[in-house]
Amino acid sequence: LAQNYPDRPIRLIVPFAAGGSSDVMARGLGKQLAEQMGATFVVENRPGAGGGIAMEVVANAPADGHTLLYGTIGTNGVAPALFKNLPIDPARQLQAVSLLALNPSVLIVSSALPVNSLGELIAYAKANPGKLNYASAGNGSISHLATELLKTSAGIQMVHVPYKGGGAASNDLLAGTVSVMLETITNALTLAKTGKVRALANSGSKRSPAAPICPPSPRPAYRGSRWIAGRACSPRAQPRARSSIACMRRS
Amino acid sequence: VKASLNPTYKQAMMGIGVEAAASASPEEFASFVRSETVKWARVIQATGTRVD
Repeated sequence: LAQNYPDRPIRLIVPFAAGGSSDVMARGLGKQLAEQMGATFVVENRPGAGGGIAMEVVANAPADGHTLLYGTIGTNGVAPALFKNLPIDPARQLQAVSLLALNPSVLIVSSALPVNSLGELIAYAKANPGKLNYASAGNGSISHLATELLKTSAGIQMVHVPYKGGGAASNDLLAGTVSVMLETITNALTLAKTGKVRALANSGSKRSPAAPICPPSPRPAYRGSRWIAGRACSPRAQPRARSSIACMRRS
Repeated sequence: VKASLNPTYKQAMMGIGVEAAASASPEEFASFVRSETVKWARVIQATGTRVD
């Protein structure tokens, strides 16, 4: 079976709109895979319902390795607990293929705040209870949940201010309306260049080559990541799906 | 897996702040996803986070 794989174009289902960073990554990956496997990859954007729409497309496709999901921490890690009406159970209905990339976040603070490290931020929060607030891209976003995890693990209080998307949140951080935010590396570094924002630490377990100015966090528990999680597998289709996954993994 | 560790791809990902990575096996990845699901479900439960 694996010799015949793939026997037609492979669909890569992306749970986000075209043009965003996940879409750019997925398209880059599709191009690499196409070159190495000598196959055609077609990227399809199916945003909506916290990834539910894209996951449903993949779960309902034949389990032969020709339909892959470009899953993320949001779609596969968070959505099952967050969305009660998720049309599928990704853990049961999708077959894992491989981790693709890790995407650490950077903790940034308003320069008005007298802290220069994550340790100093924690000490400041403890000395000034109820004073700090933090911005997120919205309720249930990874910038919200990961900051909650940081609060719990550090034993500090910060009031959550949810925004509609990361752009609105970072504008208010620049204006000093909110004090703290967890941002993507690229956005964090761009914001830090304005001088109105200070980058304290990245959420990974080591210094990221993409953000050499940020030390790693001593609290890696809130690491963010992006995954590719392929294939709907009914038990009967599993042998075929397995051989195509083996083939996929060689690429 | 090779594709995500390809130098050209790694370089491009680095440019947008992402580190290319891969799992040792589909099973290892499946267990990583399971542990992440449990981790975030706990945070969602503890904070009472809801979306409509």
